[in-house]
Amino acid sequence: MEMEDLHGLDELNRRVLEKGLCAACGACTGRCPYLTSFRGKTVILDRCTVEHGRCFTYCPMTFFDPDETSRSVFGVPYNSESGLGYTGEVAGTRAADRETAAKGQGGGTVTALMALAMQQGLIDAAVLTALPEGDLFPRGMVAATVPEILSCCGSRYVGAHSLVALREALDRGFQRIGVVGLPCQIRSLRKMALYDLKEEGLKDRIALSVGLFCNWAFSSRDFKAFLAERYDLQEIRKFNIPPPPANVLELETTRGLTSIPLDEVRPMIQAACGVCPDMTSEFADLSVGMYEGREGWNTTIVRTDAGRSLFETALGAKALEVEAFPEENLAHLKQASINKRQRSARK
Amino acid sequence: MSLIGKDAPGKEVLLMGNEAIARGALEAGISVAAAYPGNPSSEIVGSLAEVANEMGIYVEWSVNEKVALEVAAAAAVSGLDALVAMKQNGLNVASDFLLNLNLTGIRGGLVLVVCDDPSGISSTNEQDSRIIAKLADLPLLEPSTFDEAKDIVRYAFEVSRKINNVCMVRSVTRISHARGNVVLGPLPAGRPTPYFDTSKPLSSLPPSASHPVAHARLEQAAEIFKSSPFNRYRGPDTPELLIITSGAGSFFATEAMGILGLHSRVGLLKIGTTWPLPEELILSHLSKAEKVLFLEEVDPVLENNVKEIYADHNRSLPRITFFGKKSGTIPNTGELSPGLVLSVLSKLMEVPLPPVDEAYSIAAKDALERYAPFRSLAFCAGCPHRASFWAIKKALALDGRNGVLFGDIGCYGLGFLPTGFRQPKTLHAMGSGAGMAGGFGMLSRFGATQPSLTVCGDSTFFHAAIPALINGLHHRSDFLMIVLDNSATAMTGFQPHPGSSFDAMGSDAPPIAIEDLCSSLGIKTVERDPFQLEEAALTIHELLQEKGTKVLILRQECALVRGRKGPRRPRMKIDPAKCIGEQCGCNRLCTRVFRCPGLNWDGLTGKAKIDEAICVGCGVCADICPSGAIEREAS
Repeated sequence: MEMEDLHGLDELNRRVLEKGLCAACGACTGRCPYLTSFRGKTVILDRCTVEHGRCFTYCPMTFFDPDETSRSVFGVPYNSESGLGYTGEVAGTRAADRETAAKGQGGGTVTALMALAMQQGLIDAAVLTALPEGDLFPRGMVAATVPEILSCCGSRYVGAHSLVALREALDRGFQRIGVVGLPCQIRSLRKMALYDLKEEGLKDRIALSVGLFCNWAFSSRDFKAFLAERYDLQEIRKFNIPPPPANVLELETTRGLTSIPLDEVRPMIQAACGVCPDMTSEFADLSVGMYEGREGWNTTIVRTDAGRSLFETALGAKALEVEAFPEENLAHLKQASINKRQRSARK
Repeated sequence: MSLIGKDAPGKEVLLMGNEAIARGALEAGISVAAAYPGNPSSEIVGSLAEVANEMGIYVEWSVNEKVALEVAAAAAVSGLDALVAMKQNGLNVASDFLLNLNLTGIRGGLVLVVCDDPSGISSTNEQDSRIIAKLADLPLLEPSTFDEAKDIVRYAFEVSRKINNVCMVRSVTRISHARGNVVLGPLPAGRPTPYFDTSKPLSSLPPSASHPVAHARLEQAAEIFKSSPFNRYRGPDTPELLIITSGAGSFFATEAMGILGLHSRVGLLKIGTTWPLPEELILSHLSKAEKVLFLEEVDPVLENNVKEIYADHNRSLPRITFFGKKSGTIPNTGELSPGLVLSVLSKLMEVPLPPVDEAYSIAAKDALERYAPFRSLAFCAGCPHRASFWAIKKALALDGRNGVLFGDIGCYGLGFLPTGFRQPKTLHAMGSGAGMAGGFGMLSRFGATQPSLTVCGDSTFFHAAIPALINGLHHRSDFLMIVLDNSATAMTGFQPHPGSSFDAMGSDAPPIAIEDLCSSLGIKTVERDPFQLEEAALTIHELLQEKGTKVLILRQECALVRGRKGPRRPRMKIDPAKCIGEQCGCNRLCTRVFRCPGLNWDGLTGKAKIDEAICVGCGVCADICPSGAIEREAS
């Protein structure tokens, strides 16, 4: 990508915001006086005339060059046939610590990995999502200690602008930042490293990226309005989407478990997710998702050297329990990933 | 003591046109003066207020122009003399009462001074109020000089008392706001005791009977005007060109004729009694004219009325070529100017314009740039309106439904410009923002989804917004009225209003709290400080999510009022190491978007600077700076 192809806020607006294609990743809003995230939406507050803006450049939805990214991250061109992107080992995993495993989504693998990375000094800060007391949806958080990392877990299936916290971590001067993100956010991280418009040393400072599997996320503003019409928001404790064929969204509330047919909530899904081809965070150091058919476990894909190193350290430190990932599950995961890519291409 | 109260007959003093008008009222012996301020009329009652206690008269800043006229009329129907002053827009507010009062008449003297603002220099509209005199069957006088401004007002009271009806005086910006020499006349001693004769009720019913009476009174005025000293002719017996003019036009014509050496060829008929016109005088001059030029500001009022007279007497008059607004010789809107009149006369009389002294032009241009540097129209440094519009802008962006802000009249009318981030989307009359917002807030029944909101100042709130607020409330309109309460009628010079704790004469007055009034109506009423930008923005956003009629008072004292009270609050400074200027992440937010005049952009260093001479230390810029580069220095 040449400088002349990098634009500013007006073009971000035309290509992404106006079209409703914002993924609410938060890459553009941190510290920008012209953009802010407000209740799940990215809002333009005023016109900006900066020619090459970080907002446009780091946004995963303006442009993304898989080949250029793959070369810089994996050293090889992008293979669109592979289904899961560039992979090393794929394994079934869960946190060895039972408490972490129980609190997390699936098997608590992400929490265990990030806590370990902090313990081992691989990272000096972690950008995660946390659920503020009394809030329905999470927001980005900078964790600088292991207990802070352990306090962040569980998925809410919404765009949360959590990369705002990456800007905070950078401003606070952290030099080896680990980020947990959705596929769109991992793409943004890679763009930051590639283009680094303000020469902030982002390639090195974003030291670790753990990507999550994601088929789609809700617009938090729309989803909240939907829930508010049906429930007392204070009662909602946790969300879960069990694997097919359930086709429901489960809601843990203080009054018990209820489920909503997925078809009813689909209209709240972000439009950006419909055009996203990436289900397994193909450009992360490590990708982690649900292990279909094996409750309490995750699927982990190791992708880069940094990812492999952390994974092996985790095995050595017995922070993770690992088991082989069956071929048929792998085939199924690949097919699901290819299906998402094909669906996105049709949009 | 102010010059206008001086008891020194024969003394020549320098007065502003509006002060001369006020002095004329004092010389006429008024007891009562009332007005709602509005440029260019404000100094009339403003200067009377200053001398009210010494002169023993009653002066008030009324809640609006209609009430001002009613207050003055109450005195005038009780045998007193009263003056009421307003700008052209104000006359429209007062006109409902005026067009009934004209039918009942009065029993003292009542002079209504209306100051028109040709070109709308400090107005939202341009309007020729002389037409209202014709509509209302009321006599109208126009002064051409400062001295005349005083004398014509005294004369207007005489006319008013003689015909038992209102007499109007029309001034314009260049008479009201310029200064000239005025010879003081005697001040009368003693005033009548007001008494309303209840045996003679005042009612216009039936209009079929009262309207002819008004006509008869106007005819009486026409009789008086036949010998008015304010209609004057100067020039040769049979001029090549006859100029008929009134008001400031007479000034400009005299100057242009002098420059072009036309005094022996051009005649100048200056009319002071614009309605009804002195028909015989005009006919006597038309009978000797071949070419007539009309010089008047705004509408062709003299032009049309003289042509009417000409048409009635065309058989006995020569063929005349008329030049004026109809012929396109004079622009049909806007102010006259000496330059304009000079070029018109030069062309019509085929006399070349005198050569321009280049050195003088350069010196003049230089002086202008030095002493009056170009500044865009903007809120003052530290003005709370800038913060309020910033909060509104943010709230509307966060809301994302393309809410409509209905604007209103006051300093905050400038919100239309970049200084208010172009937030208001309408601008009409006092209180119209509230009325329109209330109306728009009822359109959801047809599928409208945009939130409705309005801004109005504290003075405007009392002037005309209250009925609109009540209307919206009663009809369950969904709208938010934001009262920009800066505790001042700032646009016109800090006159007190019903929210003030003192009145025009400096006496204590019970202030009316806007929040108490709104709450008493059952309206959800919230108060915030606009300088707390984030809180103000989020409050506006939250109120926009609620149904029904809501009021938000954004209260922060006008920067000018604050400035008068004492030294400015914290000294602001910019840390150049933190200022990232044009870079991504700022893009000159403070000087490009926020645009407080207290902030300057230094292109050489690529950093923002505080203009120490202008900054009043409100500190709002420190809160908008994305880099934390602007700091409040501890005192």
